[in-house]
Amino acid sequence: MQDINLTVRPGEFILLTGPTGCGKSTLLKLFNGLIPHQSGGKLTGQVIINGIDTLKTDMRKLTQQVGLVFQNPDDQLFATVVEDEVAFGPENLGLPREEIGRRIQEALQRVKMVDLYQAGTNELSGGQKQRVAIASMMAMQPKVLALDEPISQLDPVGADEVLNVIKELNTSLGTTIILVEHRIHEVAHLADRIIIMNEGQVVMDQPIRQALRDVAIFHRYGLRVPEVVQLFADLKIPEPPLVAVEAVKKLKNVFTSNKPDQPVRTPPAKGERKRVGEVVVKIKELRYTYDPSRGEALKGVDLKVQEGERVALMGNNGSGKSTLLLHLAAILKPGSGAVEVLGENIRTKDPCFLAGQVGIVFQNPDLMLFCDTVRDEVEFGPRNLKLSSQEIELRRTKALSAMTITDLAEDSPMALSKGQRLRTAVASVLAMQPRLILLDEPTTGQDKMHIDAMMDFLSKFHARGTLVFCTHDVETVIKYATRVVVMNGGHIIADGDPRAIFSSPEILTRAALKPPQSLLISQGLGLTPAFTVDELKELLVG
Amino acid sequence: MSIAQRMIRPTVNATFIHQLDARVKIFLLLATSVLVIFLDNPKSLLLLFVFVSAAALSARLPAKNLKILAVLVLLAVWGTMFSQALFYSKLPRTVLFVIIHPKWPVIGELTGGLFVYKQGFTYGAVQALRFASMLTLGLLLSWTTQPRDLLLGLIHFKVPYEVSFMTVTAVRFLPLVMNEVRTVLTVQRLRGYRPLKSSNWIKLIRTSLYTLKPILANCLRRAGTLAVSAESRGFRVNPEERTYWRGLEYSYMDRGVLWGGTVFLVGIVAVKVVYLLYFNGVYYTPFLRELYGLAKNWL
Repeated sequence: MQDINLTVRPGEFILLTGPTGCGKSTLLKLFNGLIPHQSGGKLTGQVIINGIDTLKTDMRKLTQQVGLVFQNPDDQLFATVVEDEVAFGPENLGLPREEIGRRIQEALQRVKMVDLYQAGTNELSGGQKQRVAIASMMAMQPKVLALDEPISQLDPVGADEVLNVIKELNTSLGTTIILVEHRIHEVAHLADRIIIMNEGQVVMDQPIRQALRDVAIFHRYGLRVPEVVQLFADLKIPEPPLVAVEAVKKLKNVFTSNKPDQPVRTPPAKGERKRVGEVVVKIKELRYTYDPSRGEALKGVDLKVQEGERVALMGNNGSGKSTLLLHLAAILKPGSGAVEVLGENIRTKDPCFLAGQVGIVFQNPDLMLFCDTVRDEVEFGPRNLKLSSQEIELRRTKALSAMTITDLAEDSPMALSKGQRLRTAVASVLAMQPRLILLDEPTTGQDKMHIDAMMDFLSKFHARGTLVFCTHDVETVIKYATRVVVMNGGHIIADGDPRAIFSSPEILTRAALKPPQSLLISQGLGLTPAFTVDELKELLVG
Repeated sequence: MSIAQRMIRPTVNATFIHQLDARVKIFLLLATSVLVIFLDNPKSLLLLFVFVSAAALSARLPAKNLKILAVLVLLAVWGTMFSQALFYSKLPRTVLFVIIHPKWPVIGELTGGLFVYKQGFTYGAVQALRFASMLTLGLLLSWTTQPRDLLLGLIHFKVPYEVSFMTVTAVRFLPLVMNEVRTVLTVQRLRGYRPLKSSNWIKLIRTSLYTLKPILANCLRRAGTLAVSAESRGFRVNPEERTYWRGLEYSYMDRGVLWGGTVFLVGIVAVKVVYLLYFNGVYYTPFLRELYGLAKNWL
């Protein structure tokens, strides 16, 4: 990081964003003294928090000024019981027992978890775990709460729970919030001010509504703006609102006053994609249980996927979508029922028999990288398939270039950024040229530019292949999926064209999904449903 | 639930063992470790193992936990007895049967013969019973004690807070690491590599490296986040003044077990010491003849 000059006023809600690796997380660690007190590196300049110079103050005082919440709730909870987790901080401060008890009660009340104080942390949902992480920071009574992508691992319902709690802390308690997030569209309406960082520098710092008047800067850094903001920018309407309801009101005014007689247009029909290819996946009455005390994860799932389809598996956390995906790679074996992948029953097969036929990319790419260089990593699979050296070279060149990591070929995969590691993992799978690619939450923690680059490539490069991916990202699904399978409680509750699925409020509610803003606006305006900004624009102005 | 998860997840039950204070359980574990050193007699060691096993059964553990326990105990007993029977070096020793005859060409000359000794079996049985008792009691402790109680228990026994905290936290993350190992092996298989199907040592070493590398990298990254999260909440800022929200309180039952256990342990150790003094010709008194007999037959 360099040349950072920043002033944050008490009670502000700041959205800190920027492309992957821009220095956002490093900046957060400066706020509570983790840098420099608990890290290496060289620091010049001053960081003053509530009048306290972090360089000259010990961690004990600083941790009471700034609370830090991280991306993955599982990596920041130590205790097995909720109240112990919240008590951890106050205990470390050496507070008397009565005071610790009072703080536990108050913090859990703030995050609406007081009824679960005796619950096991392992039994909580992702959203609840993240709220416990926030409560454990609030028990330190910090003036500032800094959160590093706290919703990136959560389903839309969990994310909403957490964001509501954060906003509540900001408005009712006056806690200053500094929230790092790629998903600007999810949080823009909550923040007062936005700071964009790039390559260790602050490149924009403005009130959020003012900043969103110029979407070009967001695009330049590969950041996704709310659909409503993009729509207003495209329509050249000033003062973009941040939520769909406001947009509907404004658009009604604009289009009533300017074009009173213009008939409502309908978007071009997006007929359901024909499924004519060979059956790649055939699942019948699949049931699976991880732990009998927690019930079945899959409760009689039937599914067929045909060649060439791009299927999005959606649903809330714990709905069974990842379990289903793991069956397709023969990682899990059916408890009962049958799973056929490429005509083979996986029950008695080792995943080896799927090598070169099925590729899987996990949410955490680190578990997929074990070679010394990116080049070795990409060549590893083709070599095991005993392909000719020309074929190996051809596949390596193509996969590296597709993932834009050709220049990193001689680097160690472990030394790359998370985005680069993910792309290396994808390239290693692509080099196998599998007929079926499985992606587990490929959009998590990635900025829009990288998500689009990866999905564009997979759609084009793999046009004749089949893609099955788990995601919560509705925009990505609308753009890339030909079919959506929605899961809830181990069942498939909807299966069909993404547009048809997202038009059903009942399905969206049951699967805890959020409809795209374009759809809400088109519905609010009484138009034919539109699912993207372009479709909505076409409806409005032709 | 995977075996790793089952190994470390405590059960919740209202049995006598579950209700015992964590400190009492740790004390019993320590006391048993002293006992198994002081006891040499196979009869009394067998009795101790039966007692510990009965305690495990009384905890009404799930059948799968008991199965894991049984497999581990059998492996330990078989491994210890067999290895001791083969490599027993004290004299006198009686050959039970011959595995490699010393007169066999090449292998016989090279090894000097391989025999199974009767005394080795007996010695192995004693060692196996010691090991089996400790293993059973250790697993019983971890299956019937909540980690937070275990943490407080360790702190009570003056284990530094940092060490206790790290021990309990490491246990919590063990199943996660086991799942990651499974994922890495699957990724290798899906890329055409058969990690475990080879008797070639070079390939096995390569597989270990391929597996360890991503697991270690991931563990380091997770440890980094955990450390930052702990430090953000004042971990180690002032260890001497740290307070505790929950405390452990002894019930009458706990006190009874603690006192009973202490008296029993001190009694056994005292009798054994008195016997050793007599045995080595240091001290003898006819008043204690019955005690010497008891010690000779049972301890």
